[in-house]
Amino acid sequence: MFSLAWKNIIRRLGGSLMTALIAFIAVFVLATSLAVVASLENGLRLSRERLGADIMVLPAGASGNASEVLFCAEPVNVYLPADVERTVAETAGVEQATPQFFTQTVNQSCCSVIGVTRVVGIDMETDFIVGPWLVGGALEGGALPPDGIILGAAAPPIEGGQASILGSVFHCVGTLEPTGSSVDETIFMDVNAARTIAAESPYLESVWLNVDPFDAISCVMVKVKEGAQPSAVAAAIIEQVPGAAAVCTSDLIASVTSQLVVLESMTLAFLAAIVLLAALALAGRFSSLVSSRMGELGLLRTMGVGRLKVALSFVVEVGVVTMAAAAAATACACLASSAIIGQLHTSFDLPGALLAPSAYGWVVCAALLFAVLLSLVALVQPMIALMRQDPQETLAKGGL
Amino acid sequence: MEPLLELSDVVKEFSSRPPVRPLDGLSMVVPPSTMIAVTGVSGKGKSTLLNVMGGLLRPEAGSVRYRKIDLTQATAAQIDDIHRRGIGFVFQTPYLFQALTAYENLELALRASGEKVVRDRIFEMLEKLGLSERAEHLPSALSAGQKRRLVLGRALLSHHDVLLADEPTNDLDAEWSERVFELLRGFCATEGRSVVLVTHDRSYAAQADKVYLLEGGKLREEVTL
Repeated sequence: MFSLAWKNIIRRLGGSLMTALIAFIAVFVLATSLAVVASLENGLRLSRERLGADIMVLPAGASGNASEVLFCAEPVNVYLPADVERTVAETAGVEQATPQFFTQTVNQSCCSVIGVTRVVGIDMETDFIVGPWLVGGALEGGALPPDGIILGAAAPPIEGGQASILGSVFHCVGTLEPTGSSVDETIFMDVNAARTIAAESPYLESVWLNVDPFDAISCVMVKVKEGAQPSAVAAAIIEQVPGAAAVCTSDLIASVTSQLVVLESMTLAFLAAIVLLAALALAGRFSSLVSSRMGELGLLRTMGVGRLKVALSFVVEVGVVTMAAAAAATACACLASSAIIGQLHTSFDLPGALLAPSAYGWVVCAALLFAVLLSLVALVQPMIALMRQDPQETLAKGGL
Repeated sequence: MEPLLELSDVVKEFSSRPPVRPLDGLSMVVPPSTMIAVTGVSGKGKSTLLNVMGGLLRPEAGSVRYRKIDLTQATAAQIDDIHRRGIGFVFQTPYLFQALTAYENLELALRASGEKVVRDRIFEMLEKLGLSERAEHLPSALSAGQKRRLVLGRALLSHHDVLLADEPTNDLDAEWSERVFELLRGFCATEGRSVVLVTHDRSYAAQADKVYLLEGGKLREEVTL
């Protein structure tokens, strides 16, 4: 019987592909949606847990890009004087303050870096954003050397542990855990090293006409004291630092959360529609298969093959096709989801964190379980028809 | 000798408007090693008779006994078992498994009847039916006559006690009709098997051991010369 089922699959390829296509689309949509939503939620969760900063102090002209800076690693080449850091650190309610210096986006055209990434200078003495997420807990030797770089969790890999960035050679001294924020896509280096390469960068020449790179910072990340209200501290910072904007990261996260709620609701609605359509389409497909095969199914019965075995051969046939399509759809969904996550991440300033293999495992299991349930639901009506109307009898009547 | 099949006062009615009663108190005995032909005009119930004899249709009244088992009272499992080894069919429509080659169609018949698949036996049958060169072809690549012969081969290959053949020479030319008849004769000559064939061709029917005319829901035996 299994041989008959298999030959029906491969020798009635058009029909099998039709069945497979319906299952593929349904499972692909489900698995992709699951992976994307899980990734966005994961990113948001990591952002909440690992962001570290309660307030971002940016030049007033760059405050509109706070989400991009926080979640998308988009460098903003607008700078504040370096002494702003001290002013911010001395503001009431501030526990810690650390400066960051954005250089530029680098890629293969200027550097030995595969892909596109952002280079940011940090001050390891005051840093509380990067250090806590170092894989292994600390840097080798404890300090960030002038030619050292730290790679974010989603930064491009560096061959041989060293990279040429804007003409200077740097060595990788550490990597970071995923954080769900722009930290993941960033290469970090010592702030002065970053200033040096930025000053020599032909791409930033125009920026330095009015600004001294060695007396500039891009932002100050602030952690407020226990019990202090970030919004009140932010207001105090704005008062203390003319020309600066202080953005509460909790506001950004709240905004992203509300975007995610809308996105998830829409996704759920689409999913429900797709699932319903897929179930109907598959049920129609299976019913039509049973009708067109009634003669053959009846023939099996007249050859003494039991009703259950006949039904089983049909279930095996459609089950193999559906599950093969589901497996292919799940694999494609896992591949496609990272591209979709990336697109959502950059287009809508949403946090994104690649899912751990175990999370993909859950997505795969859920998608395959869905395929099984979908097939079972779609098989109900055809099986009832098959059991109610004995094909053996149909065959006999057909012969009248 | 104990009959292989025995029908007693069988009534079969279809609830159309007005109701049709193709079998009306019909009785018949199929002894071993016998070829029986049933003739009659079209639409008078010859195929219905075969389907009732084979346990595919349940009659409204009467009994159909295969080796003491009443098919009208038998369980589905008993009927399945009888279809595996006891009663085989050649339907008027040449049903074949469209995804299986000619060879595989015969192979499946052997598997279904629980017999050992012997490649040489299958090829021998294909040879007898002039289909050896078509062994690897799917039914869609066969002519109507070739399909008819393949269907017959499938039935002959399994060792059923009784073969119920509905117009087995449809789509066949005179030469193949004759050869098919010989094959059916050979089937009857082995191990006490019998064939009941339905045909509208009286000259063909006349070669059987017994010829019945189905008329008014009953069988009337005709004298063969």
